[in-house]
Amino acid sequence: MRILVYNKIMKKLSTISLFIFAVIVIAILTAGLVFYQNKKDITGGDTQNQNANQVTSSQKFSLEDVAKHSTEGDCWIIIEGKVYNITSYFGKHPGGNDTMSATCGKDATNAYKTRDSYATSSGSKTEHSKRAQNLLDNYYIGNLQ
Amino acid sequence: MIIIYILALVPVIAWGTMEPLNYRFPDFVTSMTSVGQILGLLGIMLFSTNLILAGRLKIFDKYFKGLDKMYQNHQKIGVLAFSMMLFHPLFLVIKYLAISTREGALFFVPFINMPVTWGILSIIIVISLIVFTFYLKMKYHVWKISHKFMTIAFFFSVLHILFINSDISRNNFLKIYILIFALVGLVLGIRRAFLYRFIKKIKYQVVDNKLLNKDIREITISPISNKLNYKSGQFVFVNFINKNITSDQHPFTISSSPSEQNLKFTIKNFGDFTDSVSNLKAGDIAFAEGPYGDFNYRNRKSKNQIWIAGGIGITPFLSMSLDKDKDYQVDLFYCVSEKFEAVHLDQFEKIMKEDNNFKFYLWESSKSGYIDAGKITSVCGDLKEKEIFICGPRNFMKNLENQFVKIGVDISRIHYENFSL
Repeated sequence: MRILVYNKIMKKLSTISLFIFAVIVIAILTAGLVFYQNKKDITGGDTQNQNANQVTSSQKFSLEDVAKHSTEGDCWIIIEGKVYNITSYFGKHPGGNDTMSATCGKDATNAYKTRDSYATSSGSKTEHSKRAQNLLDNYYIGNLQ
Repeated sequence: MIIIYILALVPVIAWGTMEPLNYRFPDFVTSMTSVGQILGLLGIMLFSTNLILAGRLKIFDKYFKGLDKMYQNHQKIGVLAFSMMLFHPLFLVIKYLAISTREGALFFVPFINMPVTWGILSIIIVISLIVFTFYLKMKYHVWKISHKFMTIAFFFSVLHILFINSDISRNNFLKIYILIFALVGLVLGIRRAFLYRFIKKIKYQVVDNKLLNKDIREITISPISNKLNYKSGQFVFVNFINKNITSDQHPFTISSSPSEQNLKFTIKNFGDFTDSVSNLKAGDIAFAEGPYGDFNYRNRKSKNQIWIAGGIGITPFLSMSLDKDKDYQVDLFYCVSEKFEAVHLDQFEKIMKEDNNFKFYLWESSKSGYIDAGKITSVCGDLKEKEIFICGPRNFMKNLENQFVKIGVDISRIHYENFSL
């Protein structure tokens, strides 16, 4: 029966884990906060409201305005009367870019609700998650006239 | 120990068979999420295991060859589980960081998503308790109370795995397997942390409390009805009912012989609780839980044995020498820095006179230097065929063990006891 002196090794392991954890969590939270502040400054804190349930904006866009932004490099969409600039979300959508680019410059309400961009019954016919909804609010820029 | 790790790995294997592995590890982000999931599964399994171990069941005493060794493993498993719990969200957050920094940051904010919140709460509690355990020097009973909150942290972990949308909720085997472990862990954890009054204990009362020298005190307790059955060298957890003493349990090696009616504890004053036992008076009630431990000289490979005590580490040998069978050939070294520190010398002298197979050496380091394997060999001859029992301060035991191993003593012949300090 060997004497086990794990005390020091175990203490070291927990110290290292704790240190890495603290550094990463604080870094991410700080970055999140800085990012949030920057975005507020750039947009005047008005046009892009971060709060999911109280999204309001004074900006009004016409269907023609939205239709001008119909490419992957400049993509606005309409969901339930709200206009979103999702250009910077390209490359991040789990379903791929094609599902989004199909709706650029158009009303994407149905595509968003059914996750079926081409209305070919190829989508899952299910709604996006709440998290997706929160995420979408980040890209909100105004309302349809 | 291996069994524990195999049991902890079963859910990971089950998880691995749920989907082809190339689905789990197709690209960097998904792979990191998978690693996070594995860490979560292992973490919850090791956390459950540790609560089960802390339940201090008799069977663990046997399985680990003494509860003191079980507690060493408990610490090791605890730290592993802790690291996994910490890295589990760090790997999962990568998925959200890939979307945006804001999403990543929101992942660590509580009360957005309840199942995640349970996990966050659990981690916060565990971090505070680990900081308590490792970095703040605190009194034993304060630490002990704080450590009970691990059960609460575990409860939050269980809520987290139960309600989060994950592979556990999608796979029945995983769900049932993990829940059984978690449930046993919770039951034993709650029983040990909050319902310990109902765990079976034997009632005693204090009959004597005397100083043996400046620092060492001997408490004698007498059974009120049934007496505890134990082997010499074992220890019990005792709590005393006296308003000047904290009522929490402390481990004490029994220094009396199993044939006696009474239990005796020989206690060195290290400050703290061991200081407060001076307040014990005849008539005070004591509850003993146990016995535990595997530090007994019988049923070993050889009847030719060396017993080595460092300071207060003499306690199990007090019991074993009183209980010694005459056919065992024993050399006992009692190591102190000066003679006045030693206790019960008369008892050892008396046994030596009556028993030709028992030799007692009082080793004073102020006169003969620190004891080592070479000096013991020069007194007792070749040690390779002997069983060696050591009890004393941790470094004392570790140094001697290393020396014995170096001169060729088989590790399985060296036995030690950790609870004397």
